[in-house]
Amino acid sequence: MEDQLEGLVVLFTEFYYWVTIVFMFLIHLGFMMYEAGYARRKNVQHTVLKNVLLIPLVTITFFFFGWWIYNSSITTGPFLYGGFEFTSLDNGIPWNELMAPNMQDRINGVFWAAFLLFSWTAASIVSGALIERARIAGFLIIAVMIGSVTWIIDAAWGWHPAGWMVQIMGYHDAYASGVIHAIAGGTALGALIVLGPRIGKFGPGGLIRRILPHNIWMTCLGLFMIYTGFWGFYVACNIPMFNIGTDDAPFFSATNIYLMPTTLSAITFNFLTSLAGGLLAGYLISRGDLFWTFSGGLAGIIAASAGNDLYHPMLAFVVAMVGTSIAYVLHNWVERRFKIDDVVGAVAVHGYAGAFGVIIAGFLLWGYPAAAPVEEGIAWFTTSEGFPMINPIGNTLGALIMFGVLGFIPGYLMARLVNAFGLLRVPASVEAAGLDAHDVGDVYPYLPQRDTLFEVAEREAALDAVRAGNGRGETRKETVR
Amino acid sequence: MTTLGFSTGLDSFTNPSEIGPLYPFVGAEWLFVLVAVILWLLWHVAQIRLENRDNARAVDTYERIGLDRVMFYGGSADVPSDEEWERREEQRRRVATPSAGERSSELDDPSEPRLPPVPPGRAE
Repeated sequence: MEDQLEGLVVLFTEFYYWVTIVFMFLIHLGFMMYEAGYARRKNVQHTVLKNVLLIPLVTITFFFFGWWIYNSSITTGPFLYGGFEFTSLDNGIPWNELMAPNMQDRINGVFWAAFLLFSWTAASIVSGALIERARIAGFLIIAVMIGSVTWIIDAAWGWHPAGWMVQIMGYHDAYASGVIHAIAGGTALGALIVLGPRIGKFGPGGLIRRILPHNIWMTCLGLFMIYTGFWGFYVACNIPMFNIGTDDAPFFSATNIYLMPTTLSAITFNFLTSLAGGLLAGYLISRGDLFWTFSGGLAGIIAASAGNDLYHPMLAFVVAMVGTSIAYVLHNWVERRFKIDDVVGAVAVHGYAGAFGVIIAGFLLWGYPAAAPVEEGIAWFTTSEGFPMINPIGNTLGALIMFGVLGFIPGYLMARLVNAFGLLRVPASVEAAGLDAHDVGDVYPYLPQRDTLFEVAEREAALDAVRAGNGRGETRKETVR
Repeated sequence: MTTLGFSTGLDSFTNPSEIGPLYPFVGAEWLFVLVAVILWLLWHVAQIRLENRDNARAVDTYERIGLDRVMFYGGSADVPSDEEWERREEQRRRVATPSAGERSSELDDPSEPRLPPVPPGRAE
């Protein structure tokens, strides 16, 4: 860095990403509080442990192979376009000198870490859906899959200026409605189908029991913390200082992940208005439910995120309201129709709202350049200057790839695999007694407690399940409904 | 001042533009990664065994003392000893079916439902 301007840009960029990482830590503080608050008293410690252990495991596996996937030629698309030449940029190989403290590189570590925090987020989203009956072992394997493999493949395909989905399909998803949220929601849904509902959640005659969280206040505080961390997430999706002009006439700006221009001011407008839209819609659609009002705020941001680099703030507001409403309605319909017990509504808030956000961005940003072309003549639709063009077809197919191909299918298959080894679900009697009941005991040992109506019903269902002979790690949803 | 003539990495920072890796044992990165991968896989194996053992022990306990008893007390950590449980059960039986002359004031209302013994620390 002998040139002063270059030195300034590099050091600013290094510091910029470092700050985003610290902010994004708050997402995980929030996720932990959110899950712990939503768990019943007898499952709190297990829930916290399950959530926090994904952090070290996704960290080391993202070091081993996650970052390599993003920097390898998977970007240009094995099976679809490009070749099977698994060449990799040096900074993706775990034993390369750039994957360590190095005076000649100041960006790789913070960029790796920013992506790593996205990885934690993807895995944490799945975590919330599975609480109160999933085994730690099975969940952690699924967490490594989404955190260090599947989501980063989708990022290489659709969240990289040279990604084949961007270059061919014109896919646009600036703040990860699809590449983080839809894939995580899809993965959670696939895993939930195999995992089954909590004992007693569904009763005879279509009865759906409401299982109350032990501390809704803590859950809401956790969601507020996630909003706060989301600021870091948003700015980490940008390149802070990039010459979008020419060498002769430089024009420095922030860009989105595709190196197309936006501003920090733009995403500040749109983050706040989409949060507002989500909160207001969440309140109305849930008829004043506290949890869904807060979850609506998150769903609103997620629904607008795909296009929040370019939307008008009021457009972001409306998109957020619509996305939140769709997520809430779909959540209840899927729960009723398919008996899916998504404890914290993760599939809805992240999966449905995220997929909606990607699809609607294809319509609302139709005709915008998606990225600079890396090869002429490969994009389905191009702008007048030959840039791949954002379009509804590309983004709709992209949403299907994110939610379905890279989310739901791997989630379902991996859950089947770990279930085959008995690692997915705790035994029925352990679930009924509470995941904290053996060894660790009550999370609030000095506070009195009393059984809820649900626990009485759960006890009956659990005793039936145990009498049926499946008390030892063989719980099946058919026997516990 | 003398040195021991040995360094695990750098011994000078005077030419920063010529410095690359800052860490010791340059060239052994593959070994660090290999060891870390092995530890990662072993961790999963150990965690699965630990969790299997915990669950099996819990199921055995619940089968032995009864799930209802465990659930009522909020977990095996609070479950009373067999002797204590028997004593409480006996108390409950006596309250529920008192012999002549043993009617307590709490059974004055015959419609009062049978109540299980109150575990320590629980509100009624």
